Amino acid sequence: MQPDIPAAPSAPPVLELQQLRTGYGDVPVVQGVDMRFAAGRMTAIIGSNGAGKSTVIKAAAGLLKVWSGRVLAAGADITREPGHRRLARGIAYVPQGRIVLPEMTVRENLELGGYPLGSDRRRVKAAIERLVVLFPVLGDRMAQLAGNMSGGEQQMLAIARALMTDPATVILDEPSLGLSPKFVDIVFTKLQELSAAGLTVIVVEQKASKILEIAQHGYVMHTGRVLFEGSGADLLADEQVKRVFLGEMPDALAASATAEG
Amino acid sequence: MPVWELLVGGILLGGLYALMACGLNLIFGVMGVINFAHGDFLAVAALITVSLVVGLGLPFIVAVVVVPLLLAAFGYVFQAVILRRIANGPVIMSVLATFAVSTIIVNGAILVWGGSYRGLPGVLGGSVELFGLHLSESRLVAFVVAMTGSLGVWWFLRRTRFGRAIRSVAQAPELATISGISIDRVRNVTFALGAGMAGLGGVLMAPTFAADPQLGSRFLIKAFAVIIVGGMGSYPGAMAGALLLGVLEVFGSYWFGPTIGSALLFLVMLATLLVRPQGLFGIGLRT
Repeated sequence: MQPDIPAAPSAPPVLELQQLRTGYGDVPVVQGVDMRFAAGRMTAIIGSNGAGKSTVIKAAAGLLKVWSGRVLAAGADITREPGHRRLARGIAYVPQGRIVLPEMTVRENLELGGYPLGSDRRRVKAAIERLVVLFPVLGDRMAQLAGNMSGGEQQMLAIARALMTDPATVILDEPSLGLSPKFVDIVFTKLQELSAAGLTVIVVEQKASKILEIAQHGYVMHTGRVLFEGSGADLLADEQVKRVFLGEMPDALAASATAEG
Repeated sequence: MPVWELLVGGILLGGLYALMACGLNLIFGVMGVINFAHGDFLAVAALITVSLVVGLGLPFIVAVVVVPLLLAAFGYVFQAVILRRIANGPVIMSVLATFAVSTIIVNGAILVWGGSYRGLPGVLGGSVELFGLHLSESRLVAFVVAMTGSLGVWWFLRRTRFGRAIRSVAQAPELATISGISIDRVRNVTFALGAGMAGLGGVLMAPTFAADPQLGSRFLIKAFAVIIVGGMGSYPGAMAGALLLGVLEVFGSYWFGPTIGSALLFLVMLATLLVRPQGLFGIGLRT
């Protein structure tokens, strides 16, 4: 059993979604989702392709308009707050896909993540030094163009950039996407370390069983709704979850869904 | 053939085109907006300059400072009040909006200044001897200030914190947002900057070229030629394209007369579109 790290009983969750509905254009994707992300905990959101996992966290990150329902940060309603204010609330986001600015150097990418630190060079420098300790691979690459790094290194850079302002919470959208198995392990180990150090981690993942092994809590989504919720260990052991979403099946499901879509 | 005179004359003209084209290209690169009112910003700036210097008797240097700021303020308000609200709509909406503002500016300018040409007699009217060439003072000053302005904005974009924010919005708006950068604010400043550059261009051309309210469209189409040859969205491309086309226009006018000289620009533009649509340094048109 994974031990839950309990927040103080009275403290509201760092992030909470209440009856959230959203989508693209006029196509609904997320249809009434409730999620609570407790401080210091790693929460995984899994589910088949098209379940609405990425869409939920995009809305939570303020990048997608919420149709109805509420987004709360430490109890404060931030549903209508523009996305660029999330960092000031200690909520960082690592997007899926194009995750770094390829024509800028590693240092410039990190400086971009440190934008809210202001024009005080020392603060930015100190933040970069702190992150180089966490991500040694970036240390000797500062002057390299981000676009010339491998996919795994770019993912490390994207995570490091999100941590420049020392946020309390980081939301990641499929950090393992397109990475070699070796780098998937490296990225997941890094997430585990960060979580152990007190960071609240919210991670959407296609590699469901792998992420549930290290997450304390999990949500299983299907067609825009939450189907199951529980501790990582409970979800891993659940027969229904196992049958449909874990093991060999999800990759096959995902493959067929990708082929169709 | 006075090759050196022509070459220098072309480069001096290209400096003005650079300022105009860089502003237009900056707005396009960051916002995806093709500003059809850009030439009219320049024309109005030239006419305001004439009114300040001839009408109110103020020194030219006052216009150099005040007029670009006026235009920048106008650009800021236009973006914040109108363009911002249609930023997520189809491109045709911003095209029509800037076209509407262009028409309003031209007609407003005709109301205020009338339809005839206005110049700045006596301002920077002398000539300077440089490397054995006689150069018009007004063209030389225009070139130096225009290049300083264009390079200054380039430095700002590359080296300052807010400049990097602008570039990140151009390259990846979502990344900018999650880095705490307000896209609205960046767009407001970018449009103001572009309008201010057009304004400075208008001030600088007033001593050399007589201005009229319909000057804008003639200059705008040249600026389009410049950014297509240099590369849409590319700042260095706009500068290189401007100097190249300036030289081309001057040589063409000398050899074939001004009518064909100007037409040469558009031949080069068409050739670029056919052979190398991304331009010299360009990223290509956005899809």
